[in-house]
Amino acid sequence: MTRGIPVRATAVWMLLMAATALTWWLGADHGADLGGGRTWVALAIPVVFLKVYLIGSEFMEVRTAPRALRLVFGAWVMVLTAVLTTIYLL
Amino acid sequence: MSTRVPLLCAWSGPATVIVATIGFLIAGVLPFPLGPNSSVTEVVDFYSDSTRVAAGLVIAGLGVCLVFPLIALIGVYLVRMEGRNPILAFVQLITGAATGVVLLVPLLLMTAISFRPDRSPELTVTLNDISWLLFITPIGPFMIQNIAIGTAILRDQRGLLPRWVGYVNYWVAFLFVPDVLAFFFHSGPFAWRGIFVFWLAFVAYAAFLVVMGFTLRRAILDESKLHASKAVAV
Amino acid sequence: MTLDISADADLPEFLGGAAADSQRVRRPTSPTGEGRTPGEPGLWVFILGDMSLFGAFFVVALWQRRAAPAQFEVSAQELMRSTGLINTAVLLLSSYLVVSALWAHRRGGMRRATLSLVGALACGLVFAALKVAEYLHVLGSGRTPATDMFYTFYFVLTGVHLLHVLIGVVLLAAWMGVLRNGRAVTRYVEGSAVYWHMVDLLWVVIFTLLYLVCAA
Repeated sequence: MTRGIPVRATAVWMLLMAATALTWWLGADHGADLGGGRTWVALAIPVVFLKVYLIGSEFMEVRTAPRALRLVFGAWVMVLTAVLTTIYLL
Repeated sequence: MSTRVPLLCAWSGPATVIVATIGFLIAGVLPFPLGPNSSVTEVVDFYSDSTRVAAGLVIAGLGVCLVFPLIALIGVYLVRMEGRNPILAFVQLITGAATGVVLLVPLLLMTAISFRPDRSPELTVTLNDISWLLFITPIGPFMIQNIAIGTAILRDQRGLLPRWVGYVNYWVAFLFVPDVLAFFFHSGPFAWRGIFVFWLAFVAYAAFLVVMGFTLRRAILDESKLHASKAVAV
Repeated sequence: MTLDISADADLPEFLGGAAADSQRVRRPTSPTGEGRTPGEPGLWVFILGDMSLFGAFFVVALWQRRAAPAQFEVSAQELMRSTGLINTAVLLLSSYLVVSALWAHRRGGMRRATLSLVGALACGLVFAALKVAEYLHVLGSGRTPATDMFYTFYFVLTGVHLLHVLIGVVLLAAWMGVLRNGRAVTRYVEGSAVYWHMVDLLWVVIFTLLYLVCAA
């Protein structure tokens, strides 16, 4: 760890940037090309909350936090993903 | 040091919530308050049962005044936290006093509306608009009070109150932000009876009163036990 | 005859009395033994609470969309998606810089930490500038928060978020003050970092929901 910032954090950041680009591509009408437009768009919601979880886990350092915080944070992400996806698809 | 008066002041926090809620239920403000898009008939009808509405609003008006003892107790604790220069304590006292007034006056106005049910309907609607907007929108004193309390707790080296209470105060301050939007919407989630204005503010402020009340009660009791055991040891 | 008020123990401290013998009685906590809470436990009451406020905004926004999905779609497609995307990248970069600053600070690399923070701060200001430009463009084309429900949520969500960004900028600037004084990482420093990541995380969701999901 000679450079200070853990390699893991850098890798996660690059993954987040790539995922953002992917979501934008999906949203910019390309999702409709693949058929079943609404389903693809609905996928964007779990994807964004996966990004949220990564930011929390790696950047906020929830990953190395006590189990209670990890559980609460993870539950928050899962509940919101489920609720928002459900409402969108209703 | 007698704990009776401080404890009463701590209990006045939850008491504010209970008494004001009872008053609102009697008056009919809860569970479904009037909104900016209520029809003239609905508004006039609401205030036409004038004795019940007035009685409920009088109780609610007295209820919100129960916030004053709690504000004073918070002030005492902030003064102890800050030591030589209790500037945040003073900010909290001043803005806390303002919050009490800014809650009471609109309720007095509403009570006055029910004073003369056969008044011109347009005047009733206008007075209702004024009362509600006055009740919902003045977030300034509340936010400054919460920020003062939060900052004082987090800067307190002696840890008189639990630090999470400071963070709760910061959170409550944010929860008041949407309330100014009531000036701009006649319907929807950001109108004065919208979910992010009336309901969010009601729950947030109630939570603040209950959290402060119970935390201060716990602090008072723990300290008095500590002093009692020290006295015995001596 | 002088009035020696300093000896009067009953006076509050700020009027010259003795410092109160005050200490909060700490209740014994069970040791968890594992994991380190970033910042401090109380901070997470605020962080999760603030995230939940936005969560409630998201839920109600999508719920309101059900009443007029076509109107939401038309309005959402009017948004400047490329600006939103740039803003997302800018905030993600700023988060990365904050992580870099925190690790540098932990290792005593004050100058490196300061440089990272300057970068993060610059990103925050770029975000704010782009957002203001976007607002001017939207308002200029006649769209206001009262235009329709989508635009209400657009302005309120991004507006409250922008307020959070500006507060975050102040917090980062204060962190630079801590670095300037050569002090080690504190609860405040870690808390500011967590707050900034929260600001980033919230924007990622706002961008996806408002600019992409609603527009599809």
